[in-house]
Amino acid sequence: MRINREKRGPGCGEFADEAAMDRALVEAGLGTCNDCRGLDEPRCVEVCPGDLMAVHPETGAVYCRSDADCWDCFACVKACPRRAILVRLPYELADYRAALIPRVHKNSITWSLVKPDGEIETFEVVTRKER
Amino acid sequence: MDEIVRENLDCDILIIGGGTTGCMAAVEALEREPSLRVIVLEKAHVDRSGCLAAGMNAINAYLNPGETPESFTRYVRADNRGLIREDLVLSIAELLNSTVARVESWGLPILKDADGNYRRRGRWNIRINGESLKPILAEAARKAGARILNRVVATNYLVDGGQVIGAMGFGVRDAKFYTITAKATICCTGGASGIYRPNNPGAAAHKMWYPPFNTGAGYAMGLRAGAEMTSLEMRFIALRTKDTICPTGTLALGFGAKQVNSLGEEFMVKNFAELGGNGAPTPYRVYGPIREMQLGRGPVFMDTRHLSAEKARNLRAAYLDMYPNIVLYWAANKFNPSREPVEICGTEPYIFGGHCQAGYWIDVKRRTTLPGLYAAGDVAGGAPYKFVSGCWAEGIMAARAAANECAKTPRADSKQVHDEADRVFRPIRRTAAGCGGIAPSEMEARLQKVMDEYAGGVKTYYEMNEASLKVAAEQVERIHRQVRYLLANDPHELMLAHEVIDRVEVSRALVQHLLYRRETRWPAYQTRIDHLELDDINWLKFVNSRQGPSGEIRIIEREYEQIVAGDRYRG
Repeated sequence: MRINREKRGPGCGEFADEAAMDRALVEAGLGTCNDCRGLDEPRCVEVCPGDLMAVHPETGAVYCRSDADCWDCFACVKACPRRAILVRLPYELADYRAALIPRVHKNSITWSLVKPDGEIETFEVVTRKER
Repeated sequence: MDEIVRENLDCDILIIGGGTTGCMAAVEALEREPSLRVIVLEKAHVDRSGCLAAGMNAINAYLNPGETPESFTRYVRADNRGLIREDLVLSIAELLNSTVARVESWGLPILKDADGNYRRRGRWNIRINGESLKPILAEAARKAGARILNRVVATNYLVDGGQVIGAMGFGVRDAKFYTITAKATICCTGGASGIYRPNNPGAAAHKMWYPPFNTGAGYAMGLRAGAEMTSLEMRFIALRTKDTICPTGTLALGFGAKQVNSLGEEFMVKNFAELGGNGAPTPYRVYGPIREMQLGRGPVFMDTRHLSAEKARNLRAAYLDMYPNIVLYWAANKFNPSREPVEICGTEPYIFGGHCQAGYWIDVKRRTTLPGLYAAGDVAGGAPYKFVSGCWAEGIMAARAAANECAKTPRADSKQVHDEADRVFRPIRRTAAGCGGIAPSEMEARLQKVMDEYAGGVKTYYEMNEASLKVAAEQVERIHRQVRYLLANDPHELMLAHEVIDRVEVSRALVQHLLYRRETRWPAYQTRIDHLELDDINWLKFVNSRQGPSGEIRIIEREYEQIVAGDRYRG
């Protein structure tokens, strides 16, 4: 789980592929976390089925209590109003780095799959009958 | 810790668990009788809790044209090696299609062909776009008028003279102690993962198929209250994609992928032709590939190399409705299913009644052996192959019975409430007092190690014998005696502490069930290496159990009854 707080994307852009990926992340809609200030509870904290997203008692910043306990259900990612949460697969399983960013609409989701070379593939998935 | 803040509530029907089953039960109860006061107790948030948090891409228990409740029951019976509660499965089958239509009317998109018929994905399956299945169910429960208490963990039933009259628990956000009295209580907590060591270690430990947050609370509460459980020994071991542990039905039924070993052999066809090859009963479809690995012919794969680029894209889209992380994983590792086959594995064993039949022993109305308590969905036993739609059907039946049989106004016993509050908050109290002790994660690791190594986990290719199970029993008892030393710094850790307590409780009964059935009825799910034959003469019966007042597990045998005529091993 990675909560994005940088405007340019989470990498430092030292290498060409990293810079391409950062540009792609911004293009795919990655935003920055504002801790849902003004809401009783940040959306990700409200919805996480494992009670893993929390507000830090001292800084007020949203954080994940334990990446190892995350189920990768994407509930927080979809609920985030600023698209600022990225599921980061454990390195034990997957290369550094690709990203999957959903734009949630009323009756569908547009998923942007950002590949390690910066290519973006999109998928449109219906989630509800017309309403 | 400061003085415990209490919240006392009263209702007509208390539903414990707001997942697949609980939401449907709430809607059914309130549509039948809008004046009922229904409370749904949910440990997470109903919008994304339980098995459907990420969504579903198919309904897997549906009577497609030409099928009947009897043909469904015959199939489920054969798939589960001739031993199921046929009365329960028949009653589910009768409700499957109307229930699916009901959820469709709430907004679930179901894929249709040019003539407007549901698109099939196998004999009992239809394709859906179910990413929002859980929010749709939660919205229906809210609209029906259920009072939903999110972030409250149930810890024990309130019992009055053997009658269940509600439940107790604590708030994960407010740290309050909840006492909820109810005229009828429906347990819909789901089953248990995390009993065995998971496939992936360390940072990837929760890349599992069954929700890591379904921790056996319903079973543990039932055991502690003396409810009868059935078939815990019929564990579910799922055939899943390696690493990401995603469902393979999408590959097999949706995209025609066959299982192959590292020699390229279709081993299911080669070794299990008489049982149906690729269509062999579900336990064999995991036992088959495990055996290939054991015999040195692994890794094993689902062969997707026949997929065109367009089909491979459709496959990824189908996974986005249910397990988006496999799409991310394939992209990160530059994996292309059109060029390479998808590696598969068996999961750690899970305990639940939605695919297999571990759970409360219930009658056809979904009444447990404790008056006032009903059970439905994954926590209810005897009726495998229910999946999402069958859980809905059971939720409906439990709600109907509960609404009709509401008892008189209950009153909580103050000593019971006091003792439970003391037990519930002990880990926080001990930590605050500076006591040493055991972190929930430490106890979880020890339990999982014991179960993995001695009670048929991944490590032993799911095999076990009497000697190893006796070691497991002894070790689990040791852990059980130490739960009083658990520590918790805050309400989140308190939840983790009670999750591991409940898993230990379930493991105690599970090991006794595994010891008792001295045959191998379900290979891989329950491979007794010292009793490898299926033995209908001695073991065509249910192994049940009940925890006695001093905590001992008593085994009870229950008869099997054949209701639907025909060969029990042909579906």
